[in-house]
Amino acid sequence: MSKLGSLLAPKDVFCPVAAGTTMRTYQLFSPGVYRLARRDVAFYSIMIAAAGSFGSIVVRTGTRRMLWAQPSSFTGSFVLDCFSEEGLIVEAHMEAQPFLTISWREPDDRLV
Amino acid sequence: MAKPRKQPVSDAVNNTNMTIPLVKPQVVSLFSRTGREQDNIHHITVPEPRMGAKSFFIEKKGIYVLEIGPCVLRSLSCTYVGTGTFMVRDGVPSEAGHFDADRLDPFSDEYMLANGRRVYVMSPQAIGFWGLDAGLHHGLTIVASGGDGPVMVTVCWLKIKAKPKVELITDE
Repeated sequence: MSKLGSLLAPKDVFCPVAAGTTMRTYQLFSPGVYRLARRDVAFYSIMIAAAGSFGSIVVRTGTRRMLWAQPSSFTGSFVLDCFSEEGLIVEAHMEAQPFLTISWREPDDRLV
Repeated sequence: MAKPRKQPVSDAVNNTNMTIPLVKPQVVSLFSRTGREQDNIHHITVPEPRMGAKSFFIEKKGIYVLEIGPCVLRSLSCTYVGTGTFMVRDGVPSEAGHFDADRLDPFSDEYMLANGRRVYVMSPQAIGFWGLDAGLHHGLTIVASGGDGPVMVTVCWLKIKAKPKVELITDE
């Protein structure tokens, strides 16, 4: 894979479910492209605790449909609880460390 | 062709009726209803989700018909300040981009049940998460108009399957 391709290829993250619920959460603390889920999920919320350097944050579905985007990152929290088909991908395009916490719901507690 | 006369903003502010600036698209009103945006109506069909709400990411100015029929507007997530007006309307526009509610007095009883009444306006757009859970009877239409630059708003809503019974209760 080319260098550009390796940068844009999502890193798979496997996150366990919270006990008694179907909610999952992941803190992203370095730039890159992350695939948090690989099936139909509900993208619940994103919290930007530290925006890092100037850069963009994009949340996409597994089919690359854009769900949410920040063209220039800033701190804040956004609650959406919207459907995300075939997965959930988060792109943090910035040079310094961002601190993002993303929460989502999956249909059951399986680690897929 | 005569250049349309621009209405002073002060006149629009003092006009409690607000009918004239909204009906005539040539008039530069508080809501920036220009002819250009009215030619730009997008009918968006989002399939029924398996879980969670429907969502659509708006990144260009225009009129977006997101839902026809009763629905609940969950939230708006605005991530870019930009310029211009971002408006949520309870209804569906005509082919020309007009709404029935624009011909009515916004303080009248008929206005509350009319197609296209305004429920939320950001002018200019304000960054932030705006949670509403607003019930809409006729449909959900977003009107993003005026100014330059993009719009970056994620709209989340839920379709209501059962037709709610709505009746206007008056003092009479």
